[in-house]
Amino acid sequence: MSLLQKNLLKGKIGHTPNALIISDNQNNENNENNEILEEILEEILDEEEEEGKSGISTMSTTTLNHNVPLFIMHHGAGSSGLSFALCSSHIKRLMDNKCTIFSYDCRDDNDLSLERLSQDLVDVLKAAFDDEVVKKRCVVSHVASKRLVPSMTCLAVIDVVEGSALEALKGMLPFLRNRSTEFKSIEDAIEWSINSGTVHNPESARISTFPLLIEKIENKESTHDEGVNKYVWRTDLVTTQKYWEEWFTGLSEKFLSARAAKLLILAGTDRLDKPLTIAQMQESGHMIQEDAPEKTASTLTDFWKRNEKLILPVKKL
Amino acid sequence: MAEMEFGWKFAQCFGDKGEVEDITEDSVDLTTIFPYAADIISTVEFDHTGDYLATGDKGGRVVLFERNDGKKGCEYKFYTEFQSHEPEFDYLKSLEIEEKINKIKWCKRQNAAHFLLSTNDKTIKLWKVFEKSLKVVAENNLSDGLRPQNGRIQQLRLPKLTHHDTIIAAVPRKVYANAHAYHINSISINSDGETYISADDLRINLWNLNISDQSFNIVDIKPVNMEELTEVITAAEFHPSHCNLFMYSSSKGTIKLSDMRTAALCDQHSKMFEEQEDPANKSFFSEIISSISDVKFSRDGRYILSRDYLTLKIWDINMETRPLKTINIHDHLRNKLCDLYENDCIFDKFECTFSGDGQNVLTGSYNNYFHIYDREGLTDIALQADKSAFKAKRVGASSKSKMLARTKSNKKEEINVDAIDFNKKILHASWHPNENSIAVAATNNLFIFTCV
Repeated sequence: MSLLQKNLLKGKIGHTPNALIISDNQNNENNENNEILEEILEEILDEEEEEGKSGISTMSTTTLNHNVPLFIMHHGAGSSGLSFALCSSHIKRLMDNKCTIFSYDCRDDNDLSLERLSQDLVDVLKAAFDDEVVKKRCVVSHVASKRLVPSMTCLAVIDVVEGSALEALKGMLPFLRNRSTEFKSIEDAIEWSINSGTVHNPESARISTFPLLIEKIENKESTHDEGVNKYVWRTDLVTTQKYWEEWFTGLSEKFLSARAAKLLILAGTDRLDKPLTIAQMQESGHMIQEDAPEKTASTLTDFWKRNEKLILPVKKL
Repeated sequence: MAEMEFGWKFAQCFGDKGEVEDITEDSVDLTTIFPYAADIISTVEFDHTGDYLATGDKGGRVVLFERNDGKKGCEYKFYTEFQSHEPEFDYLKSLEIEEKINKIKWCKRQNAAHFLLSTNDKTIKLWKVFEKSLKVVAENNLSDGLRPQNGRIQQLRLPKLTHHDTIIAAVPRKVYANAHAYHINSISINSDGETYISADDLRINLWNLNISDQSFNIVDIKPVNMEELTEVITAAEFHPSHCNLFMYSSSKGTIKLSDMRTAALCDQHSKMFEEQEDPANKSFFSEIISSISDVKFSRDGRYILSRDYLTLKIWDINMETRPLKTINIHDHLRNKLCDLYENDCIFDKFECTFSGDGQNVLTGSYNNYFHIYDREGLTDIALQADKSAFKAKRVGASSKSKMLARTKSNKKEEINVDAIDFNKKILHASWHPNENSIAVAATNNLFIFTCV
């Protein structure tokens, strides 16, 4: 196939879905899955290997186990699927390994409209599990989207509230412009993440930062030494500006009208604009799942256990 | 003991000599094993008589085989080889142009010489292959250039040219260059024997075989703004008998039939063959796997055969709405598309071909398997072009059961998806025009199978 054709076809489906699935396997010892997670994390930290494709592609060990809940993690703009890594390991521990956690990197190009992102979620799930009917799920979403997942029973939103978000949008552009756009190394980028307050938890930053970056190689002609590489953000967030309003408008309404149990996790009560179930976090910045993974995990598992026996439709709160 | 599958048996293999010694297959004539270069075969094509077989490889070489008439049965021997294309460098774009031969097409034989077109990504060449009689000067008067000491006039003789040897020579007669900005994927010679088309990703050009410095552009799907590119041309072919009709396939899964009489620029198709996708089957990779990799007319021109990643489709030229038959080649790969995307295999371009009589169709798969189906798609013969497979088959009692008629439900070897070697793929094959013999390229080996 010619390069032109290949790139055209690849471009149509966008960024490869890289999903981290820590699936439960009833034959495993409790500890084994955590060990697998450790191995995965070690792989991720070993930056020499990675070149541009980040994370791990579908490490599905078995087909989906229908008897345990499926947690689907959807990260927000400027973040990656691995931001849920630490939180996931805690969830696994708390649920006694009786769950499946699915987290993926969203597309980083062209069409970031709400519709496209929503469709991506459905497509990725279909591609990964090839199965539409999943009985129980607990969805953790950093950015809420349209409900295209019919059998979802619980929906959790992390630190996004429509009113506050729409207001914050005004300040987004200058904030983005002040962000460093290039880094000499991934360690530099991780350091920046922590210093700028994007992520408070250094352990999590170490895991989740590198998929956000892409290596940019200098012109071959200009230099002979190989050390002149720089890392830039994979997604230019400034270009996503046209989608911002669309993402957040109507969010509260969609959240409330969703046919599932709902959980909203906030970093600070001042971000609240409507009465909802609140879980108050401390010492946490905006990336709650990264900064306070244990607490997030316990909140989610409690949320799930409370609503486990839920049969749709759900009584509105 | 010959391997038989519904009457098909392995006849010959041209490839690296090493492994072949181990096979003492009755039908394999070891003396005909020609040490083929280590290059990957990129195209295979029988000529119109079936007496000659051409292969092109990644190194830009063309190797021709000739039917061995002496022995009964299907047998080919090495005829000649030549370097068709060399690697080039495009200075303007700083890109290397591969010498890999993408396609070879034979011209209809008009005299003792053979003419064939071979193309790489950018340049098409017309080669003349003919027998050349080498003559040497004999009956010299002076063999060492010295004057004779005592020359007598009666001893003077007129030097003569006598026949010394016959070699097979190949000379490039025409070079059709600089007409394609994108990579050429197909060439097809018209039934009129005078013109041919060459297709790249975005354009199709019409040439006259005798004129190498100009061509007409007859299809152009390049958008003004390349950012808006949505599809590319993947294959093109002239109709076998109507010299005004040709078709081309696209990455979007459509086949367009165009009539050159309607307009100079054939962007408006006369017919478009497209099957509407069932929305229930839509998946993340739907667009990629619906891209057509090859398209062929049947010899009578009534049917069209198209190949996309997972299926073969047989169309009636008079019915555009849906194919007559869709055949699943390796449906067990449908759940593995994510992995196949990761290892790039989802972009493999499999060719397809009709049999000479149009009753059967042939296409390749992985693990060196290829399939022959009848036109209704009712029977499926799976054969494997793999020397190690032959060796394994003869060893052990279970080999016999493997050789018995295999029905669709019995293909245990293929269904074990994890055991499939995705590096062994049959992308190129050609069917003899007049008999049931096929030439199949498996990486750097050429296999010939025949039906008794």
